[in-house]
Amino acid sequence: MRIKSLRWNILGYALLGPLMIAALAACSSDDEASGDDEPAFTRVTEAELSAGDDIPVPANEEDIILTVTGNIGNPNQGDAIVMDLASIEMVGEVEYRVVDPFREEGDAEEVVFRGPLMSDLLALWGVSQDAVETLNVVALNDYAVDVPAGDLWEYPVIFALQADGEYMPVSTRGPAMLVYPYADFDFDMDEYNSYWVWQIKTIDVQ
Amino acid sequence: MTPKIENPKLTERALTWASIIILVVSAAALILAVINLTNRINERSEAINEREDIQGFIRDFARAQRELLRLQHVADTGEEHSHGNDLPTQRDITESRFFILDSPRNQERMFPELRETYANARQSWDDSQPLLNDFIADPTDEELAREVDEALTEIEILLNNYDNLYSTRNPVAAARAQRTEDALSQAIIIAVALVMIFIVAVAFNFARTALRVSQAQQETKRAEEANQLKSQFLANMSHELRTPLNSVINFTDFVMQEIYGSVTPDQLDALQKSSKSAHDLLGLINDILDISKIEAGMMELFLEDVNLNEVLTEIIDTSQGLIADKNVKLQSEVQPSLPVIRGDRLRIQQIMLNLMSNAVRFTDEGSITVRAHQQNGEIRLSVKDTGQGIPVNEQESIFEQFRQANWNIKRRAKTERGTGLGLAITRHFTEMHGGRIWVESTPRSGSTFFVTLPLTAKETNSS
Repeated sequence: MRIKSLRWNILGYALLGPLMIAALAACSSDDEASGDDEPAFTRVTEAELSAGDDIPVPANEEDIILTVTGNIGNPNQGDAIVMDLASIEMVGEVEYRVVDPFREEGDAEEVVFRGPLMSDLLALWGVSQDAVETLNVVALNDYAVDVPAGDLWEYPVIFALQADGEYMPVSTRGPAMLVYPYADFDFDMDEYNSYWVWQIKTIDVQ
Repeated sequence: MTPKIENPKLTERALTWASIIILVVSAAALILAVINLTNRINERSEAINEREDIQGFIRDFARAQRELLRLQHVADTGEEHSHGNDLPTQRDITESRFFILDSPRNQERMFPELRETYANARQSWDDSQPLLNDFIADPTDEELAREVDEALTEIEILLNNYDNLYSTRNPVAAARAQRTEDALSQAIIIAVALVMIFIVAVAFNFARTALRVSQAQQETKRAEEANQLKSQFLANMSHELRTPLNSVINFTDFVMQEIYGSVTPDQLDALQKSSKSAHDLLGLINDILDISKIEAGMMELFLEDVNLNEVLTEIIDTSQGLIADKNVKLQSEVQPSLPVIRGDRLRIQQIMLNLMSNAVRFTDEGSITVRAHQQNGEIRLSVKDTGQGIPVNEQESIFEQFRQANWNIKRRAKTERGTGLGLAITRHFTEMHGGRIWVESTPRSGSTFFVTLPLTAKETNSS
């Protein structure tokens, strides 16, 4: 009897195993398909400033909202890059809808974030895809986090300047904030929420 | 070697059923325990989630409070904060913290008391904005600075309530988490206990079976040893008996042969009776010796070339003496020039002699026919008598030692009974040669004993 039931067990696994594997394969290929079919973002403005171009130095020093230092190839002020809102927008903006994980959850209302792709910014800054592993992103209140650079090349991460069509002031986490495409890719929120840096002040490329 | 269990089959069945019931109950309990455990774990993870949720907005409260303190510091000192943020920026950073606390995500998680106290803090913050703007416009106004400081302190105290509220709230949450943890460890203990009971039941079942098998093996071994010891003793004893008996026979013969002087006819008659009894006794002792040797595994065949025609002629000659005083005819239907076979001559003689004496013993009149021929690569020997025959239900058992057919005991005079060993020995010798023995018989009309012998006996000891 024991042998018989064992045989049924084996038979069960033999039948169910391939089915489950097939189902898993189907699921994962679905995922990939949805990721590949259409870009996860909508392009809003075309690039006027791209890799190789000189980055204009902001005329008014008070307009500078971002300072980039470290391992960069295209500085415009000493060893650093300084940018204001206008020069950042010249890189060309995209937008997409995503649930703001700090204010909403689940099927809650989505916010449309808009700004240039981090990958375009990195290219403009002359950051080497091979040599750079992390960006140390620092906020106005000196909150700092090491953001993995690989994700920025791989996924459409936005250097968001606007939310729902309005520029973000500091009081709503502006002037800039990293936004990850949670809607289209499966990120581990426990880890990636910390990469949504608000009130970005400086970036040190490491 | 009497069994300890009175009705082993019944007891065994009961034990088997008990084991099955134990296993089924254990399995059911195990499944229930696992289900229970799963529920507990779900409850626990819900509780953990809830605690993390609380911790989540508590963190947001703490951050708001920290930025508020920084704001107060910048306002107090009139200097820029160490992070380089001026008063408006720090005000905006603080506002962004309220922006997060305002969010549906945090509002939903706040318990009512906290939501209320937060609403008050938020209101005070909003109310303080005109004052802050005035102060930003004129940071040197000390009266304004004092009012800003008071307002911010008030908000801070309100905001700080989260800590008190959380502390009062926390014991409840903690106690609930503790209860869940207790229930969880209880469920784990129950599950582990059940698993152990299950394992013990299985192990007990296994051990019981193993014990029974080894007991049976030991008993069998003991019995075999005892039997072998007995056989060895008998073999030795038979030898000791035979030696003096041979003296009796020899000296009786010497007297009968008048070596010690003349013997009267009466004396001769007495001596003949004495000699016959001694020979009978010797035959009995020889039988016992043989069977003992066989049982002790000490019987060996001494293989040689055996001319069966010679052996059978001798047997028939010898048997003539046995039927001398009976009205029985001895017939021989032996195939001339039987092949010479490889076997133990003495034992083959013994086989045939036993069958012959058996036939003579149970046949009062009629005939005894000895047949021998080659058939299918073996020699088939048979001794047919016209005696009383053997009932079908006893035809098998007569070849077992100490066994005599009932008809034998009932109907025969004591002197005509055999030892009950003859056919057993015959069977052993036949089988040691690799042959077979059987009987075909019709009660009241006679029996035929068949023996087959292979042309070459196997080199083997008795079993």
